This record gives sequence, structure tokens and C-alpha cells, in this order.
Amino acid sequence: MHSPMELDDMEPVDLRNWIRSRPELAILAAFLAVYASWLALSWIPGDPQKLQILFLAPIDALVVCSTWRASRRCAETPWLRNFWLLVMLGWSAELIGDLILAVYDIVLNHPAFPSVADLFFLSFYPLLLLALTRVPSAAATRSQRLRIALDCATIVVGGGAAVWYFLLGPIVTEGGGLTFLEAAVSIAYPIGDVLLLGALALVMVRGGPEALRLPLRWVVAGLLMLISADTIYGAAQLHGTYSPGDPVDTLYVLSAAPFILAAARQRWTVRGDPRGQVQARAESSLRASRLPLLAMVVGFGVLLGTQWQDQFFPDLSLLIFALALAGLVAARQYFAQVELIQLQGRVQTIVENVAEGIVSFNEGGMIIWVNPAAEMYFGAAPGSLEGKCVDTLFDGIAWSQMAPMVGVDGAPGPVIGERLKFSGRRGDGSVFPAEIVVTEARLDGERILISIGQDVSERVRSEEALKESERRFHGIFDNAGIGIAFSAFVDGEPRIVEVNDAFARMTGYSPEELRGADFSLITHRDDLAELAEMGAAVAAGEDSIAREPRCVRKDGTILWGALTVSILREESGAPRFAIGMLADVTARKEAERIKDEFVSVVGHELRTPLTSIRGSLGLLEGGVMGELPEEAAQMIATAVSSTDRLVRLINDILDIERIDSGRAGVELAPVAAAELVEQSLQLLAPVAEEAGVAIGAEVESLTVAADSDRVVQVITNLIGNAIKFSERGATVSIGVERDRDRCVFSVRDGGRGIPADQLESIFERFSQVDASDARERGGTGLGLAIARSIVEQHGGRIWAESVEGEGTTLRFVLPLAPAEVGTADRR
Amino acid sequence: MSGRLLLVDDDDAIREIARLSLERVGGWEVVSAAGGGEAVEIVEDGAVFDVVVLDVMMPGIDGPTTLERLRGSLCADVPVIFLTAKLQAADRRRLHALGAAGVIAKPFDPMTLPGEVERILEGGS
Repeated sequence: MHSPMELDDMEPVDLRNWIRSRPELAILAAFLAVYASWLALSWIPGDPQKLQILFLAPIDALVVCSTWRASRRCAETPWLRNFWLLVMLGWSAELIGDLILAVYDIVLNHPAFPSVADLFFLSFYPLLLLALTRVPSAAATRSQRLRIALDCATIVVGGGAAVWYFLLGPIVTEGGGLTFLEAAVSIAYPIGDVLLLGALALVMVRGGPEALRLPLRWVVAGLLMLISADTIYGAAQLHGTYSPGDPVDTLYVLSAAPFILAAARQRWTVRGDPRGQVQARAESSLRASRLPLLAMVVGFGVLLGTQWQDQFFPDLSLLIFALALAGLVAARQYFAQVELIQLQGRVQTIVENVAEGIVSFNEGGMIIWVNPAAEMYFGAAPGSLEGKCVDTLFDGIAWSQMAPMVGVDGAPGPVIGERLKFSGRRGDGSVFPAEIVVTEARLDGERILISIGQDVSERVRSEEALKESERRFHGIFDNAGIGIAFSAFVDGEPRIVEVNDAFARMTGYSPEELRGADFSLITHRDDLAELAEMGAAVAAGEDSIAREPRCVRKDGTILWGALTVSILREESGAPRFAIGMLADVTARKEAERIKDEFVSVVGHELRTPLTSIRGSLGLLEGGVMGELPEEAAQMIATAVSSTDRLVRLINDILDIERIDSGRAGVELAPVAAAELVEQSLQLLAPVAEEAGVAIGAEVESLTVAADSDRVVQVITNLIGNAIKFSERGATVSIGVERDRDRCVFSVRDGGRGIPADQLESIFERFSQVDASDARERGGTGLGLAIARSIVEQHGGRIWAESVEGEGTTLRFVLPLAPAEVGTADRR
Repeated sequence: MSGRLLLVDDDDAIREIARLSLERVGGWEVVSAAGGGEAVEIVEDGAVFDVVVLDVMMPGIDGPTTLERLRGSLCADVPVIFLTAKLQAADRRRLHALGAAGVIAKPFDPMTLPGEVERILEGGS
């Protein structure tokens, strides 16, 4: 593609780019230059009418090319692409028609009417109609659509009047010279024009999408030129005044140009481009209303002109046209009025029902109008405020002071648009706090002031109440005996925002030093893991977490703290605030430590003499010191068994004390249940052998979360009991099986059983089924109590099942290790 | 089994009973010490033992510390067995971790004590 135009030396690159991006415009310019020079100079020899045809074909082709390119640019917006493709098809038909006509006129030298060319020319109309109906509508409501339809009808009727006068009338009334086919084809063109005019009106009055706004104007211009050309050509043909080379031919050629311009202005669109979509609100501009007005003027003008000349019209048709136009205009007026009233009603409903009081007054300070809310605020009867001076509504300010603030000489005062606080005065003289915004507006050329505001006494009251409650809670916060630190989560980490005096005092830091810090500042190095655990618990969704980490004061001394953290969460569940409450439990911890030490010392001090006693007795009993008389040996044996029982008793008492005081905490770890049973059996094998009791075990392969030493203690205890209560030769059965997410251990003996009313109490301290048991079986009465404490520390449960005389089964459950819970229950 | 055994316990009565048990029932040649310091002195004087039985809670130098000191003079592989009144599994594990060959609970039965020592030395615990 080359350009015959002179290139501007200053901006060669820009111009070349422009031509490259819109070559159709360059070609159009070149074509118009050639065409204009031919019109002026007739430099091509030959029949001007026939040559006119030669100019039609290339410009038609140019329209086809440029609309095709436009359709490619908006391939992402289907309706817009279809619009351009339909316009392209319309002009393709036009091109073919012109080529056929050229064959008739130039090659055959025999103009024909009607011909195959008309078939193509006529198909232009439906194609363009279809294209225009592709444009989406912005009409939102039913009445808007109705009004648009009426506007279109007015335009069609008005335009139709012109068409009737120029074309249809003569064909119908003077069509004697035409054949039926000729008449039909002749009528088809103006009818197509009128329909096209209607579609055009539709697109023009209803407002379309942004993407097509600029191109559509050119399309409209082109179509209007075409319709005018059709009309002038038709009229000239009928009156026999048409001659080859008539200016109307030039109009046909030129009418293609706007289509090329339109196509060239079509921008690229992308998928989902908002410019390709219709805005939900129809643009209700006055401009759209001018179109039907224009059509009506044209229609009436034509009809009156016709009547003046009185050539083709019977009075009846004039009447029909006049009535139709008048009816359409009246109907449109009616619906526009309905729309207006609805809108007014809506606005009025809003103004009357808003919570804000609205008072409008003029520059003289006279109240013009108030809404019901304002009357309510000021305790005034409806209609009683209008006409009064606006300063009656204010407490402690006169109009003379207000006037300069709002501005009185047409210029806005300093308070316009500002939020103001003032004291309002009710009709009964009482005063209330109010907040208003004063704006200005023009009504019939006069400047009026509008005050919009609210009685805020309720808000002021609740603000006061809030302040009061805040003061009260702050008092609690400040004077609390425990340390309170209020933290906010920043990037998921709690940062201290505020601490109370007690917290600062306990930690030795000043509130300023603590602000912005996190708890790791005051946590002992060795207990940071505990802090991390608390963080993990928060993340897992716990809202209240209590721990006893060691804290370090600013001076480095240690503070045992009982820390309780409460979490306030956002709706999403993310933690927002943390309230940490820190109690100094150093004294308690110290007491506990002393008690621990005491218990440990007591244990040691008791065991030391016992060890000598037991050892001495053992040596005597064992005959190391020589054979004893039988009675003495009997006495020594009794002393040995009593000493053994005393040792067990001391061990059990110390044990249960440790567990119950919580100092012997359990440390849960995954451990195989079979391993626990195995360890217990190893410990008890000698006992079982001595008692002549067999032990059978049926153990599922399961992993439990347990403190293995403690659980071994429990199992050993239970099996030891079972052996004690079994006859020689009996069997004790041990079982381990899965029950949902728990592991059930069972120990069954074939002993005499436990009465139903004692199944619970056997777990109590020093409780035995038979008082004589203690002596006979050598138990301490604490074994099952210890077992229950340990199982409960694991979050499990222990119980006994028994049929008297048939034996007893003791069962306890432990949680499965987390990894095990996930696996399917294999039973 | 027989051999030389160093017995360390601060309590005279217990030490005497254990000595009787180990000598008469177990057939050991027992050297007694009434405290960690004394035990270390005996060893530093050049005495050689096949096993050491050591009380845990002693005034002055306690069992674990004694073990540590003895390790310096004794061949590292001489087995040390603790005698303790602390029965918690955690305490036992702690003593094993210090390098004890075994742990025997107090009060002990003098008739079975030598058997327990033997069992530990044979590789059980």
C-alpha cells in the first residue's frame, strides 16, 4: 500500500505509523482527491454516467475491506464483531449490485430496470437492519422501552410522510406506466429506507455502549446520506428529471465515505471490555427527545407542503398522517409524564422518610421548606415552620450572626459543605445537640440554603456511657492485682499494646519499654518452647490458654508466672487481640519445691532405716547368721513380710502424692502397645511363676500416645492384682484392641469377682473388697487409685467388669497416637 | 561369681548388711567405703576391683559425682552398680545415662542382692 500524499518531513515516522494503522483512510483520501479532480475537470473521456459506475465499485470495495478490518479488531466482543460483519455483508451486496449494473450499462450498453442488481441492492436493507439490531439496548425500565418505541414510531411516521410524498404516492397514484414488478421493486426501496430510518432512530434514542459511540455517529451519517440519495434519486426518476451524472450519483459515491471513517474509528476491544457493555442506566438526554420532534416537524411540514401544492394526496391520507403523528406525540408525552411523576414520587418518598432533618431557607433567613424529620426534631407541628426565621431553630445564635457564615450575596460562606455541631432549640424551648451540613442550591435563579442534619443527643449520650464504662474498666485494668498485658496481632505475632501497673511492676520494665515488645522479652530462655506451644495453640483455634512459664524480670531475676491468655478473633477466625494475665506464683512454686524436696527427703529417710531392718531380717531369715529355732524363723518371716508391705505402702503413698499434686506430669509419646505389655510381663514373670499362674496375651499391633513408664506401672499393677486373686493353675488374660480412635487394654482373671456395688469404689484409696485382703494378699490398697490417676492423666478411663464367682476384667482406654488415628480401623 | 567388690554407702548399718550379704551369700571379696571421698582414695591408692556398688544419696560427694571421679582412676570398663531409694523410672534412666551398669532398689533383700549383681554383670540389667 502506498500513499500518493505528500509526506510531512517533520513527522515522517508518525505519519507512516498512522497510515500503516489505518490504511483505509489514506486510500479514501487518495480516492476522494481523484474523484474530486474528475468531477471538476472530467479528465476521463466518455459518458459521465457510465464512468460514475466506475467510481462506485472501488469505494464499495473499500467499505467492505475496512468493515472487515473493524470486525477483526473487535473479535473479542461478539455483538460488535457481528455488527461489523453484517455491515460488511450489506456493502458486499451493494458492490455486487454495482458490478452487475456496470455490466449492463457499459458492457451490454443496455440499462435494465428491474434487474438482478436490484436483488442485491435490496438485500442491503435487511442486512443493515440486522446489524443495527445487534447494538445492545441500555433501556432499563418498561416505560423507557415504551418511550423509545414511541420515538421510533414518530420518526418512522414523519420520515414515512416524506417518503410517501416523494415516492410511494406517485407510484401508487400515477403508476399506470409501470409494470407490476417495476412498481413492486420501486416501492421496496423507499420502504427499506423507512425501516432503516426506524432502526437508526432506535439506536440513536436509546443510547448504546461506549465502544460503538464514535463509529456509530459515522454510520448514522452514512445511512442518512444513503436514504437521502435514495429519496432524491427516486423522486428524480419519477419526475423524469434524472439524468446521468446527476449530483445524486455523487451523493451515492460520497455516502460510502462515512462508513469507511466509522470502520477506521473502531478501536480494538478485549474480552470483557466494559466499553463493549451497555451501562445499566439509560442516558436520558434531551438530545434523544429532539429526534422525534424533528421527525414530527418534517412530517407535518411535508404534509402541509403537499396540501399547498395539492398534487397526489386525498384529504383522507393527510388526516391519517396528522392523527397518527398527533397520537404518537400525545402518547409519548403521557408516558414521559408518568415516568416523571414516578421519579418525583421516589424522590419525595426518600426526602420524607430519611432520618436526617432537611431545612431549606433563603438568603433572607426565611424557612422555605422542611421535611417531616426536621419537624419531628424541632417538635414543630407540620407546616408550622415555613415562613419563620431560621434562627428560631438554633440556640444562642441570631440570623445576623449566621448570615455571614452561610453567605448572603450569592457567594458561598465559609461553613458551606462543612460538618457543623450546634445546639438546636425545640418548640418547647428545650435544647438538643445536633450535627448538620449546610449546602447551597439554585431554585428559579434564587440561591437557597439547605441544611441537612440529625439530632445526636442519643449518640452523645451513648458516647458518654461508653466513656464511663471505659473509665470503669480502665480502673479495673489499672488497679488489678494481676499483671494484664493487652496485645494486638501484627503479621500474626502478638505485640504488646498496653500493660497495667501490676504487669510493669511484676516484670520490672516500664510500660513504655514493654509497648511493642512480645512476650519473648520476659520469658525465660528455657521456657521459650512453652511460648511457642501457646502460639501453636492459638493458631489451632484455642481461645484460652494457661501455662506456667518462667519469666525473667528486667534485673534478671526469675519470676514464676501463671499466664492465662485469652484471644479475641476476627470474623475470619484470625487472632486479633490477646489479653495476657500474669499472676506471680513464685511463692507457690517455691513452696512446691520445698514440699518436693521434703517428700524426697522423707522417702529417703524412711527407706534408709527400712533398708537396714529389711536387710537384717533378710539375713536372719536366710540363715546367714545360722539356723534359727522354728518359732523364731516364723516370727522373722512375719517381720519380713510386714516390712515388705511397709515399703510398698511408702512407695505407693509417695507415688500417689506426686501424681495428685500434678508434679508427676505425663509426657506423651507414640509407643507400641505391645511393647508396654511386654515390659510389664517381664517385670511380673517371677511373680507369676511363684504364684503358679499362667499369663496369656492377645495384643493388636497399635501405637498409643502414652508415657510408657507410667502405663507400664498401670499394666503391672493390674496384672499383679489379677495374679494375686487367681488360684494356682489359673490363667490371666491380657488383651489390647482398637475401639475407634482409642486403644482398650484389658486384664482378666478367673478369681472370685467383685460385687456389682463395689465396681466403682475399688478405685478409691485404701479400699479393698474384703478387709482381710490387705493382710492376706499383701496389697496396699492404693494400686488401683494410682492406676486411675495415671490413666486419667492420659485422658483415658479405667473401669472394672465382673461377674461374681467368675472373675473380673479390668479395662482402660488410652488415646491412639495421632498417626494411628488417621489409619482405617482394620477391624 | 567371685572377685573384688568395692561397696560405698554412708549408712553404717546398710553397709554392714550389704557387706555380709555380698560376702556370705555371694562370695565376694568386699572392700567398704563410708563415702565417695574414701572410695576415691582407696582406688587412687592402687586397689583394683571387678565391680563397684555405689549408693546414690550420700552427704558430701554423692553417688554420681563419685562415679565421675572413679572413672578417672579406674579402668573405664569397670562396671558400677547403683543402690538407690529413688524408684522413679526417670531416675533409673538418668543413672544409666551416667554410665551405670545397673540399678538396684533399696530396700533390697540381702538373700537376692548377690544374684541381682551377678545378673547385671552377666549383661542383663
